[in-house]
Amino acid sequence: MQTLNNLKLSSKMHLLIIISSIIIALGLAVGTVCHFVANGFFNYSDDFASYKSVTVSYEDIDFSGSGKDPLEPIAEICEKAFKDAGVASYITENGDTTTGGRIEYRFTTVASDEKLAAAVEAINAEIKKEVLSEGGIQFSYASLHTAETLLGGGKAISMAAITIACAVALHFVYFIIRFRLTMALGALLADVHNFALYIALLALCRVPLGSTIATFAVLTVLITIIGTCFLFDRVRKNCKDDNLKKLSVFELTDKSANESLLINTVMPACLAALSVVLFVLLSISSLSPLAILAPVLCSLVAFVTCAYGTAIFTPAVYSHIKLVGDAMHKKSVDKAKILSK
Amino acid sequence: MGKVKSAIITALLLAAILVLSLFATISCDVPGTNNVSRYNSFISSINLGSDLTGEAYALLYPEGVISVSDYNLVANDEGSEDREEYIEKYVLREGVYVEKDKLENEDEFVASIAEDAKVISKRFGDKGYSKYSVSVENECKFVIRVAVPTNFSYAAYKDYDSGSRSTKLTEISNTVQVLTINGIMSLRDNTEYDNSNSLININDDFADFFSSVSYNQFAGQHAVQMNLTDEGFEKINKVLTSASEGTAYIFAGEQSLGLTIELGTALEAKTMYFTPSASSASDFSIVLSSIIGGGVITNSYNSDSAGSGTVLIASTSAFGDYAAIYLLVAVLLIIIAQIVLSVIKYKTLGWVNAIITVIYALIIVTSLMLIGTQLTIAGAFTAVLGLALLTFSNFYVFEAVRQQTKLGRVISASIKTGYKNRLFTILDLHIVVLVVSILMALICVGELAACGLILFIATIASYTLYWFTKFMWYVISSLAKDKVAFCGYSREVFENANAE
Repeated sequence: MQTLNNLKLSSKMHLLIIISSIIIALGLAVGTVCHFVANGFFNYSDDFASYKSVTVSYEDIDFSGSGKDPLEPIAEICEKAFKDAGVASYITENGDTTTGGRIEYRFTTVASDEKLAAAVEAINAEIKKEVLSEGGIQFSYASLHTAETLLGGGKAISMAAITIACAVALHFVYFIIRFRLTMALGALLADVHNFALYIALLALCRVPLGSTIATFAVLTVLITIIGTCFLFDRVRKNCKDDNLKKLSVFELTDKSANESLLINTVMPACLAALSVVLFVLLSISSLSPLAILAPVLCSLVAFVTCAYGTAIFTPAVYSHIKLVGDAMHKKSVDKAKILSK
Repeated sequence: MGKVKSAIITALLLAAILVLSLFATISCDVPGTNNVSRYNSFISSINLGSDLTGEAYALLYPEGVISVSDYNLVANDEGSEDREEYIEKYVLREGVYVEKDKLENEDEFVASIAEDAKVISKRFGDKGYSKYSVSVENECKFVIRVAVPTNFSYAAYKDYDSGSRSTKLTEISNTVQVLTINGIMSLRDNTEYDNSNSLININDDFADFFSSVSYNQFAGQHAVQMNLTDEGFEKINKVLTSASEGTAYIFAGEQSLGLTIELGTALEAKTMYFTPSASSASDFSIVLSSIIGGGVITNSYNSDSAGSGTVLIASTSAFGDYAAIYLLVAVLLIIIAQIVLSVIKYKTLGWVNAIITVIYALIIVTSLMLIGTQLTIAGAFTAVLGLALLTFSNFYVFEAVRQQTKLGRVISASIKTGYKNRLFTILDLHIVVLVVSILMALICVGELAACGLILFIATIASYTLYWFTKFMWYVISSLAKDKVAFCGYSREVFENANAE
């Protein structure tokens, strides 16, 4: 791709390492502290963790004459009761049964039992009043539950971790074969850095996360792999170019990084744009905005991390790896020459 | 290539794309059927994940526990014969009615339900759903809630395809019933449990006869494969040859699974294959494998004696009723943005890239529909990542060709050299992504495995279409007078040389 600019990334290595290290260290620290004193390294959502719920089951509803969808008045009653009690749900689910329906509001485990119990009482009282006033609801009952989810994302996380480990190892080995050891080290660094940064940022932001965290962790590594293929291909090509061979290691790396900068920023930016568009659109229809926030935030963090890690951080650090690698290579060549003489 | 030949190929391709696009996107009532039959487009026939079409969940009440509605149906019916018995027998406990007898050993009862939930969770985990949950309600520890994706297509979700909707709900309902079967394995002489006798020695556990049970699918055949241990092989042959004729039935708990063995003939191999229906084979193998591994459910759930069948509730997606439509709109916006960008940057060549993008989208939609992979929001991101891979591979080679034209080469030579220069870069890129996608599909479970499969298709499509772009470039550029302008390039060196 065309050179967009003339960024001197190599000279910024120390600054970039400091920025990344601070974010990763902060994320790991916050995550570790929360692991012991709060609800886990990440703020797990109901895919992984327990939750409290208020469920209203209703049967044989006939709001004859009122013209209302049976769900609507019940939902109105519930929402008013939760508002009065000062609690907010993060997911609402409703469904039909053969004889009626069921609506469930989920709350995090930190939601006050007293407040939820008060809301349940208010809902039941209000529904009773509705039955008397409209004679419609034959049976309806609100109850408070605390659920312990046994499995949802646990297995997905462990399998994703194995996949990421295999993918990173494969990436490294493939680059040793097809590129050079220094480039393979650079690719390995990019994978590890981007993954660590993604984990740290999610641990820092404390948004309730579902099993999507695993999916976007794998996508982070995948985009990094694609990005490093473009980056190190430019380095490989430029190293072979007779005119560019004269350049210093830093200049050559900066040139290669600038040539691949467009791809390595635009590709994650396209996916980030998709996240933002989805967030805007789904916010209109979502029953609970928090439900859409988590996957969108996961994706945004993943794509921003990939853009920064692959296009900016990796070339800066790679230039120094290459410097050391070239020096070692020169040393071994000199040694071989002396030995052959 | 001649202009006529080029025009014919281009017209045929565009017509094919147009027709396929119509079939892929437009759903309508079939004319002449009085609006009875409906054609559902490819896109509305893709199976969608729980984030787009919600989940189906069932509440599992153990024997001795019934829902408030079940209780009220009888207790509020003054004409019911069972009314007095119900009022006497049950007591309300946090949203459910529990038999008083069960509450005498409440802790033990609750602990058994919690253990059952773990076994049920393991069984649903083996089913490979893109997302599922099994939960026990803490304050009302008598009920287990099982939630799985409905696997509805958009047509089924919106009830345009009610047949498919009810089929899928029935499948889930059957799966819930099979995976919650309680009790141990046995081999019996009759299909009715009450009228049957166990053929296995009272001191033996039939489950110990087997080392493993797995599900096999090959060439449209679905089979439960049961592998016997050496000891199990000897013992089962002794049982089979001790009778002269008849049929032995494999039971899980009190339910016959319909897996039969002929009596009177010894088995020749230590592996037995059974071929139940496609939908049951996987469920049976999971249950039998679970029992062999020690995962036995102790309570009977939603049994008739409790007066409550398994009611499946299909809930709406937490992202709203139109989540799938919004996802489609978002993806379309990205595709349009990509097309606009490529047209601005590469003029008419950008339209070649646009055609390739449309073909890519059609390949993904058709593959998802045919394979039946579940599409979730993460899956859509994966498909867009595949599109990015294709687009940037094309842009990367377009730039290589641009460099060649700047050196003064004619466009055909530039294309040839550009593609040659980028051959290994693009190959490396696709090989790495392809291997990672295979890893995802094989190692991961649920949503990630589905993403792996989508990425696999996307990578193959991307690489194939990368070369197809080159072919289309040749074909369509044959119609253009100025091939350099066609690509939005300029031949600076050549022009400078002319000037000199």
